[in-house]
This record gives sequence, structure tokens and C-alpha cells, in this order.
Amino acid sequence: MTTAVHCDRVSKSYRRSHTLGVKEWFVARNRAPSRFTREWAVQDVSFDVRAGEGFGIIGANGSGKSTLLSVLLGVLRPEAGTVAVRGSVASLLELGAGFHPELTGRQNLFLHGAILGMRLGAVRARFDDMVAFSELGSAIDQQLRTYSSGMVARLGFSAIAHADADVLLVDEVLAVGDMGFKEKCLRFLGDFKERQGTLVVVSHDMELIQATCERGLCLSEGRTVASGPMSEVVRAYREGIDDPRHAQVHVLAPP
Amino acid sequence: MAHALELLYVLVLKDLRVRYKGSVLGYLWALANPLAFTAVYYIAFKLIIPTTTDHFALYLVTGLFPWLWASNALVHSAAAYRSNLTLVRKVRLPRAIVPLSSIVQEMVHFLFAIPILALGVALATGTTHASWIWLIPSMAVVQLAMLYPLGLILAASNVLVRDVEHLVGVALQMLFFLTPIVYTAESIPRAYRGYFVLNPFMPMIGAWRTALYRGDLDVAAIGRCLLFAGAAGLAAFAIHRSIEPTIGERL
Repeated sequence: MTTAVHCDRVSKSYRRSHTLGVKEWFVARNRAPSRFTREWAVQDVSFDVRAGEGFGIIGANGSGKSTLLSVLLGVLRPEAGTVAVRGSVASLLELGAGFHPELTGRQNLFLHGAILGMRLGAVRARFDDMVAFSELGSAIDQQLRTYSSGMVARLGFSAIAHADADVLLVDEVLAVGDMGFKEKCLRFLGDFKERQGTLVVVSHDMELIQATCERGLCLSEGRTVASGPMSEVVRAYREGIDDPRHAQVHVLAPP
Repeated sequence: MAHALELLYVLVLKDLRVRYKGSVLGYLWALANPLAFTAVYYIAFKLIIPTTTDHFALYLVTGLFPWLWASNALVHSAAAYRSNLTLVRKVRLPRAIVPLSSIVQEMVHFLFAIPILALGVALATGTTHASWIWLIPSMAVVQLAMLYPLGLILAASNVLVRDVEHLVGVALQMLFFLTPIVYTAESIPRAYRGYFVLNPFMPMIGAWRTALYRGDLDVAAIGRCLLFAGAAGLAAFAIHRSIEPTIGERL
């Protein structure tokens, strides 16, 4: 089995004060620290994903999941450790990423196709398939700003589904699709993996992530707290939420 | 390479479409903007401070159109990474193409206005030049070669300190009056000419005028333009290479 995504002891921190300026100097002193301003976004995370496998990343908000995915995509550089992704990558890190609201669905598909690395000829050849997959019909010639978030997700997913990528990186974008579309995406992802496509998914949807991923890991404050078969990682995550020692939200005791 | 060109094409097309969505005049704004400037400077320098330059309106137009391409391109490319945040942070693409698309978008505007420029020259001087066919595209390439490294440096440094975006506007306003656009190079007092030689936009505007007026290649001026483009290109390469990997987290 060939390794498609290799992540070895990856760490990533955000510098706390990278906005220097006259205004910040006056306004932003003595700002209270919160759990969203911690230094380490991802700390010492390692995993391998084989070709044809689905890998799920779960964890609370701000636990470093999206940062990890950005590092895998290469838009963020790891501070320590190495990342290697074999083959072409298509990503859907954010709803509407790479789209412009003022353009029509059609124009956006060409724009996004080129961003995903497709030749315009290939976009043209697959255009009807993309529209059919998205079920947007005549709305494809409407401006994207008139779309609901579910429609944007349909367009975005349809684009990466037809980009012929070896690896898909998907961050929580099926959450806004309706049940019918979700089913369709699950079917597509199943076929995709059968064709030796590799999938890395970040999601809070435990059913979806168990349906698409065989293995995965759970992050808490940037560290791996569980990894292995997806169902066990999900169970560990649920137990972590129920266990007051791991709870992220502290309830104030009555006086 | 072919894919990069296609990517550039869709990005420029996106910018042009978005810019004129819902405007009545549409691409005519490519003309309206420089012509409005021409009118203002004509009033100021013909009617109020009299100038002796021949065909002064034409002289203005031939300097202003390339200048406005340069100036708008540098302003837009300085802000390019910041104003295309999702392209930088949420998708993977060769980032250097983002400021380039801002510059090429302004070039497209300029090229739209070229027929008007040529018509103006023909009407005012009574001559046209067959050499324009190759001269004008070559000049456009020379100017592009000067602007792209500058835009790349500005865009990258604006990621480090946002002041660059504001500084560019001020600097360009000063540079406008330090470049012979509303006055001629000959009217610069001899004592100061040494300093003006440092301004790369002076030979650029001069070469455009030589091309448009006389249909000739100003070899010395273009040589200086290309020298500048080469030096700026080396600097841009080094700066871009050191800043590019961290753009995602700095924005």
C-alpha cells in the first residue's frame, strides 16, 4: 500500500503579536488571553494516510483541525516536522473559497477549475457533468451572491469532484448541504476511494466522518489525544466531552 | 506554464467582470479616467500656467495613459494579497500570479485606450506610423516588465507592514510630478537633471512618446527601462522567495 499523505511530527504556532502598529500599541495592551490565542495551533502531530483511504480529523473548535488541514494543503508552512502529499490535491477548506460572489455559477466554475489546477479545456469538457452533479440547473447562470450556502457547497463540491485529484482535503463543507446532496457526496467519496483516491476530512458531523473515514485522529489544543480506527476515535472524543477533566467549558460554582 | 497563463486569464477576467458589474459605462471607464485627468491638467497648464509645449493636449494624453496604467497597477498590486485573502489562504496556487493579475488587468485597460491614443496622434500631427503595430505591443511588454517586479515587492512587503499600501499612493503622487508628464524633460533645470535620471519612469514615458509621435524605438530609454526591470526583477525574486512561504499566516 502506498502512502498518499505523510505527516511527521508537525508543529505550527501562530505568533501572538504580529500586528505591530501605533494603534495596536495604544489599544491592544493588556488583552485577556483566551483559548483561541494560544501559541501552539498544532503540536507534534503525526499520521499516515494510505492511497484509497479516508482519514478523519475531529476535535473541539479551535483545537487546530483547520490549521492542520492548511498545513497539509501547503498554504501554511509547518514550523517543525514534515508533510508530504503524493499526487495532485484538490481542497475545499472553506465554503466559497476561490469563488467570487459577483460572478455567475458558470464563471465561477471556470475560475475555480483553473485554481484547482484544471485546464480550461477540461473544465469545458466536464462542465455539463459538474452542473448535473450540483443539480443547480438554470441557477448556474445566476450570480453566486444569490445562492444559498447549500447551493455554494454544491457548486464547490462539484468542482473538486471533477478535478481529477488524487487527494481531497475537505473542511466541514457538507454540513450545509441537504440530505439528498449529502447522500450523493457520500456515494461519490466511496467511489473516489475505490479508485484509490485519498480523503482527509475535518468535520463535527460524527456520522459523516464515520461513513467516509476508516481511520482518524482527535485533536485537543493542537495535540493528538486519540488516533486509530475512526469509530474508536469518535468514542474517545465523546468520552472526553463527558469527562469533566477534559471539559473545555468550565461551569462556575455557585457562591 | 500553459496552465499558469490560463489561471492568469481567468483571474484577470474575474477582476474586469467584477469591476464593471452594474456600471453603465463599463469599459468606457478605461477612457474616462485618463481623459478626465487630461482635461484637468490642460486647464491648469494651458489656461492658467501657460505652457509652450506643442500639441499640449496630445502631449498630456501620451504621458498620462501609460502613467495611469503604472500608477493604478502599483496601487492595486500592493494590496493584491490582502484583497484576495481566500486565494492566498484557502486555495493553493502560485501566489506570485495574484499581483500579476492586478497589473495585467490595468494593462488591459490601457490597451483598450490605445486606439484613441493613436487616433489622437493621427489627428493632431497628421501622420500615422506602420511601426505602431509592433512598437506599441513591445512598449507594453517593457512597461509590464518594469511593473511586475515592483508590484511583487510591494505586495510582499505590504504583508509585513500594511503601511506600504498607503505609502504607495503618496509616493506615486510625488513621483507623478517628478516625472516629465505634464512638463517636458527639457524644461527640467540642468542642475537637477542628474537626480531625475534616477527615476525609471522618465525613460518609460519618454520612450512611449517617441513611439507614439515618431513611430521610433528610443533605444537608449528602453535600455534604461530594461536595466531597471532586470535589477528590480532580481530584488523581487529574492524578496518574494523569502516572504512567500509565510504569507498564509501573516495575513
